[in-house]
Amino acid sequence: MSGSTVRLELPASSGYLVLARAAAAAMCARLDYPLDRLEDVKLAVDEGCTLLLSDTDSDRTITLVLSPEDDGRLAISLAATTRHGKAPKESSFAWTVLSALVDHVSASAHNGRLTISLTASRGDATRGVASRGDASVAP
Amino acid sequence: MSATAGARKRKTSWTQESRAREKVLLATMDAEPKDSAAFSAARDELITMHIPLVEHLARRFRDRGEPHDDLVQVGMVGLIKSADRFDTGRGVEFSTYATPTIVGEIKRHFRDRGWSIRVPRRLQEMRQHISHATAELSQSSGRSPTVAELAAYLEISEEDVLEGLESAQAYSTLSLDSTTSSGDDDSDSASLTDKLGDDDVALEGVEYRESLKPLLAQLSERERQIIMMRFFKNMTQAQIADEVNVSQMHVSRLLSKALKELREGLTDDAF
Repeated sequence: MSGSTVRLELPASSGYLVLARAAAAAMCARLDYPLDRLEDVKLAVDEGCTLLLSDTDSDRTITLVLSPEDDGRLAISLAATTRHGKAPKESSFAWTVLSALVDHVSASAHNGRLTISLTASRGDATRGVASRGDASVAP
Repeated sequence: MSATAGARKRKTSWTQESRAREKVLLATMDAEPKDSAAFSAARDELITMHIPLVEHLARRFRDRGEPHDDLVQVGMVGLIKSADRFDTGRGVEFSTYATPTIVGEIKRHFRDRGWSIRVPRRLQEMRQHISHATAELSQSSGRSPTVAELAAYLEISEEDVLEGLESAQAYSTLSLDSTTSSGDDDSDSASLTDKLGDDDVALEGVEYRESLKPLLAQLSERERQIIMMRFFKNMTQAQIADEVNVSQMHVSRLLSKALKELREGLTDDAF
């Protein structure tokens, strides 16, 4: 765990998604993510937040936590108190989208609070370019 | 009312009679003083005669995010300019002269107004610079550049790059050099059903595929293609950009636009 975790609490309204996206993008830039990864992470945060918004009353808030790891991975957690208070179906379209955008997706619900956890990485898994522990970026 | 039928009708009814009438009108405009009633009547009739041409040309730019009526309106400006500037001595048909002027006005409208929200010119230019730099750097390194690399290349701050990227999302229209299927208006819907057959395989496992399918069908061909490649075939944005031959920023923009549309139709499917 590094000490550069960012935590953002947003009103549960789509008008604030731009802040979530901006924070995610800035964090990816700090971690030297290539542009296509950065855009994927932005989309994933957008999708995750929208998923929460669809099941959250507007007087609630969404908590976004961006935790960079030492190996360049970025752990993202999105949480809100939802009406259903349960995890989304893994067969849903939103879940399919999230799974395609980041390396790992999971969801958990406790006492009506739903947390979606995403893990993104700098490396391009499909081409196998990046290796673990290679924290510095090749010039 | 079908667009092709309209266009065809224009062509067939564009008989020698109307051509002769056009000649008379132009001759009148040539002969009469500009402040005479005869001149302005001839000018009005010439313009009215060519309104279908404007509508036809405006239709070539449909599905690019701007309302058809707006395009007709700016196209009319081009038509009026043509009527006022046409010189009978040049020996070309009026419509030949007017067409590029009308198209020019429509394109100018896209350049100026093709943003869903007002984005300052500085950011519009930034978006273009970033897009070019991304292509350039991807080409030389074989991977997508980082924000730091883009900032260094463009000699701007990383913050400016991020701002430019975000503003790109506000650009809602397809670029003007993207596919134009002018003329054959029904080709899209015909190939659409064929394409969806393919997609079925990829949609396997998505529970809401039955509600997803009609929504996918509403997307443009390109948006649907990109959605399938990114989310069901797990291609990266960079790979898709290569395959579809558009910039990566364009892929990213189309993805988020298409996702937004799909979400609106798929409300509450996830729980």
